Amino acid sequence: MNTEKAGKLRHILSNHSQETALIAIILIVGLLVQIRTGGSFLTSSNLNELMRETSMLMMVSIGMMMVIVSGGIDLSVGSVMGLAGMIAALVLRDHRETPVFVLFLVAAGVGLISGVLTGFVVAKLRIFPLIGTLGTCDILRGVIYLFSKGEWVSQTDMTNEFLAISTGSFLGINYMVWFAIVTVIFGYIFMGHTRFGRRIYAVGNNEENAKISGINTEKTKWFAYIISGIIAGVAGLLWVCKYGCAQGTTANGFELNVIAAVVLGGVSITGGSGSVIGVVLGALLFGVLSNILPLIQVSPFWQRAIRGAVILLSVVINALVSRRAERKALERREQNERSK
Amino acid sequence: MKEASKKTAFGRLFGHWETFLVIIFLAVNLFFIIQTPFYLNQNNLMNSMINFMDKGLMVYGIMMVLILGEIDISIASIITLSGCVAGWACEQGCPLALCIIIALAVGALCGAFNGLLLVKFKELNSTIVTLGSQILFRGLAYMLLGDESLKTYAKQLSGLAWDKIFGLPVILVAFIVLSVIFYYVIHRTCFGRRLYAIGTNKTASYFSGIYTDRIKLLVFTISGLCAAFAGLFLAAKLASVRASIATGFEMEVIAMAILGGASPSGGKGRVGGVILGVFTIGLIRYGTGLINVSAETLKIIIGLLLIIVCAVPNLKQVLDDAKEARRRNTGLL
Repeated sequence: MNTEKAGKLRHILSNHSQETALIAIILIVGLLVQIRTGGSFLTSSNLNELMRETSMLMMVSIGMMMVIVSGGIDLSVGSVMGLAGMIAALVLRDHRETPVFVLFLVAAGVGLISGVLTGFVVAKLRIFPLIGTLGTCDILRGVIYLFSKGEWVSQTDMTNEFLAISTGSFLGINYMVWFAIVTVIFGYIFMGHTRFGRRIYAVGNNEENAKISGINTEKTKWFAYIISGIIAGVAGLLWVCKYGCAQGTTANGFELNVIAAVVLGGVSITGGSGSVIGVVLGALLFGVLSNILPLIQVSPFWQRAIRGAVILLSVVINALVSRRAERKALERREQNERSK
Repeated sequence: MKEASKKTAFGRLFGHWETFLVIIFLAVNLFFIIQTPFYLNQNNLMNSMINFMDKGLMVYGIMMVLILGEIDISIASIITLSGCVAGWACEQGCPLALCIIIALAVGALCGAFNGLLLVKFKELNSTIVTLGSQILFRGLAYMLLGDESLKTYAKQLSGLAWDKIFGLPVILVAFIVLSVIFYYVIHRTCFGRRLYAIGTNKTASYFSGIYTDRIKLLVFTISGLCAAFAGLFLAAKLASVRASIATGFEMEVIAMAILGGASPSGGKGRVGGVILGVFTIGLIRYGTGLINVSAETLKIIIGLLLIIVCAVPNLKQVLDDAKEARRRNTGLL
């Protein structure tokens, strides 16, 4: 009985090694920092701040994960966030009576349009995703300036109801975190339990095979970019809400953090594999890392290098782990052969 | 029958990328000549070189990487890191010659780091590795300098930006020399042929006895070296080095190489085309500056250009597929 239980546990651990490892790392890092800082990490206000900070990263990571699983990459999410946040903020500035949910619809709409554009470039025009989205990243960033004419929208131009989104809470959990929770649940159901999600995996795994088995690969990829765009649009408005300011450089370079979180979460950059839970943990770990670095008094100038090193290390470790798994599978097969 | 001949004419037009490129190049020039009388001013033209040639100097490294079927988006950060390390060494009292050697060595090392990761871990692709190292290299520059800016090193180099050789800016002469060298290496040597072979079919070239790993490592090192070399001129132009220089350069350099006919799917591109690509994008930058187009609008223009340029070679395939889809009239998903 006991051994059976242990076997089950080992089974779960080996099937979800990535997730287990991430949870372990998050716990260990959290504990170490808690001891090192004498208890200023695990305070409710710091955890609240950590979750608020991480919620946007987590949301956009879910969208990015879909794109990466489909075999692409989306470098334009930072610009989409900036553009959606800016346009919604401009709407709010010029029409102060606009209800908050309309603002979110506007932001989601801007995200949708950007996603359609990016998807068109990658899926329809078949441009290498990295280069195509590098192009749309700069185009959208330029479009922000066309709309804003180089101006900022500051906190005084925003209404209290809008700003309350980032500070208010429901059931003791911040609204921003609720946004992340809803996105994660959506992503989990979408990727694991719908036809569209399975198609994204199929396309990312082997595009040729997916096509032959009757999947419209073009539309599937396009779809992934559109969802990523919508999520990025909403996250962009949250960003504006949290920092109380919309400017041309909003969320500039955020896409790199997002990709880092997704890669940390064990999503294969060549597409076809990765789990939503992994991405959530990856985003959480990334959030914890960027939260603790100032706490343990690491100079802000070191943070970028640490982030880069974390990305490279995690892809290398992923590669090593999958190599080991493959070798073990091979050994097992050989043993089976021999025992026959 | 009629349709078939039409198709081949279409194919022939786009088959020769260089002819298409010459048309774009002439169209761009014509547009600006009509728009502004200052465009053809020889002084202006020569001075504009310093503004875009630094990207031109990197283009051959990227081109070789693209021929291999890989990509390198860490080059901008390599410029920064090599410049910052050399600038820091200069502040510590190193002579200029040593600083330049340090800058080039740092660039080559960064490139080799990328190459080594890719060779040792075949599971990784160059997108994620160079994305990670892009952040890492610039981060190292920030670790070294913080938000300081160093002037001594760049001041000593200033000749590179403003001196002339035979009436031509130094940077243009450097570009010409590099072009000749790379033309020879890419189109006239065994090494060059191997690049194309690997880019076209990696497995086949591996089994026909090409050391694909060694070549990949070498190409990424060269790409880093080119970036560091361009960094010398950039430092001279800016008259200082900081950890924030050269942000976003990679896009324009990649745009130049791809406009010039290289393709990220590998095995394509010629030096002649890439030279035209460099001048087309450079002159667009120069011309839009003359007619008062803001830097942000220029960003949109270059982004659009990059996408259009990438799309054109795929256009025929896309149209054919659309026709096929319409014929089948399937609406899956």
